[in-house]
Amino acid sequence: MSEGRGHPRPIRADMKAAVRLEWWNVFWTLTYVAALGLAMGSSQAMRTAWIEDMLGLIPPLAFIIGERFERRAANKRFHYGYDRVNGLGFLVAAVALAAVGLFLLKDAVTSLIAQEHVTVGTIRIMGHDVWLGWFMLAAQAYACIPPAIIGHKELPLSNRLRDKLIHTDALMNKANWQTGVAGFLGVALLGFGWWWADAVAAALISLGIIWDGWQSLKVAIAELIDGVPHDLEGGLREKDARAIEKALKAQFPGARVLLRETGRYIRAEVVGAAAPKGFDIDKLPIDNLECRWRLDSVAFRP
Amino acid sequence: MLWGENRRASALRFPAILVCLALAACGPYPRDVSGTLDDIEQGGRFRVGLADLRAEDGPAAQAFVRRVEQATGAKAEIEAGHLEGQLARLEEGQLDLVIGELAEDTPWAPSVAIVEPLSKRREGKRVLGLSPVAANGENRWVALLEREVRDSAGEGGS
Repeated sequence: MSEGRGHPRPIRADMKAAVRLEWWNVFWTLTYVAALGLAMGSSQAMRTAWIEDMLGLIPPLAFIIGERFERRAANKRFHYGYDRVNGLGFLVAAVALAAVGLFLLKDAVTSLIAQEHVTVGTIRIMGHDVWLGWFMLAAQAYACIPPAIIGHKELPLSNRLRDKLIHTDALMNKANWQTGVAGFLGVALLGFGWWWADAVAAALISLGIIWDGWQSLKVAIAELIDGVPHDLEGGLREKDARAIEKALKAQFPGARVLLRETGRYIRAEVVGAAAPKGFDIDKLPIDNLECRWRLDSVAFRP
Repeated sequence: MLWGENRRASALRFPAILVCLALAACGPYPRDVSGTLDDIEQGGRFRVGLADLRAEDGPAAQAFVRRVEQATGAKAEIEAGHLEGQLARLEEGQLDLVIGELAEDTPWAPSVAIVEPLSKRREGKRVLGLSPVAANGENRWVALLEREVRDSAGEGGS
């Protein structure tokens, strides 16, 4: 139960793995932020990619901090425990993701309107003048690899843990490797004198990121204002919630069933029925419920 | 799902784009956005604006222009003027090169490509560099100017 200390037993191992993965995420993000920082020089295009990658630190940090709170038991000040810290972190991550998209779009559009021609100079190394673009290309190529791998590893974990914060971080990682590809192409095509290529690629990619950010934001807000559990893929009521609703309606015909989501858990309320004697939430038959641990409590309002 | 599909599509797209890049890679790289160096080499001339130069900087600027003439095989058409006006004309493509004294933190920095200086001096808190300046995005032309600045320093230029 979420009011007790620690995570429910069925997700403990996955939670541990998720924390470890997010620490790795922070570490690798810092390495490519540093690589891009060293290579960027005065390039505006690189600066944008760099700032986005910094914003990419927000979701993993939100998860790591949130997970520490979530483990705490309920206390005098927080009777229901800290389940919703995950939801709060999800909102923060969604805002960060949407911000990355908007930032990228704004930057691309202004540089297209201003017709910004980017200058990338050379550096003399052992008597040879080497175009700094080569270093930028190397840094951008490197910056695509960690987010692609980590994002790929995050998806199954986010599914099993029903963790939308990690899911949003996977979307953030997708945004990061896509902007990495855009940045790579931008520098490469700049070398051919196509000054607009970078901005056009960035603008197209930003639309996808804004869409993902908007979807996440909608679900995060719905969760914080006690909406029914939403699917990140846009479905109104997610599978687990439908199964719980169906089971409770079958058990208590004529009663209304209200559902809300507190972090990764679902709390239900049965309106118009009293709690049967000896009601045990763990013995309630629920068909097609993948994650039994998600049903945190059932309250009755006769 | 969404993520996986995009990833696969991009994974296919990426090598395809690289192949296109490789095919397009015949010819000089990096190139100029507005083709400054090509025009100079084909036209046999380039337009230089000397901007508010002090008398003692004149010879260094002239020597640098000579070097660029040799490197490009083109003739310099030199005109003197005030710094702001010359930089504005450079931005508009009416000049190919401006040589003038600019502070290290000049507000012109994002608008034009300021090459490393031929010489530096201190004026109060500021460090002023006698710098060649090119239009932004002319990366091949900028690379040539950078090379000539470095070579002239190596040969005992100030």
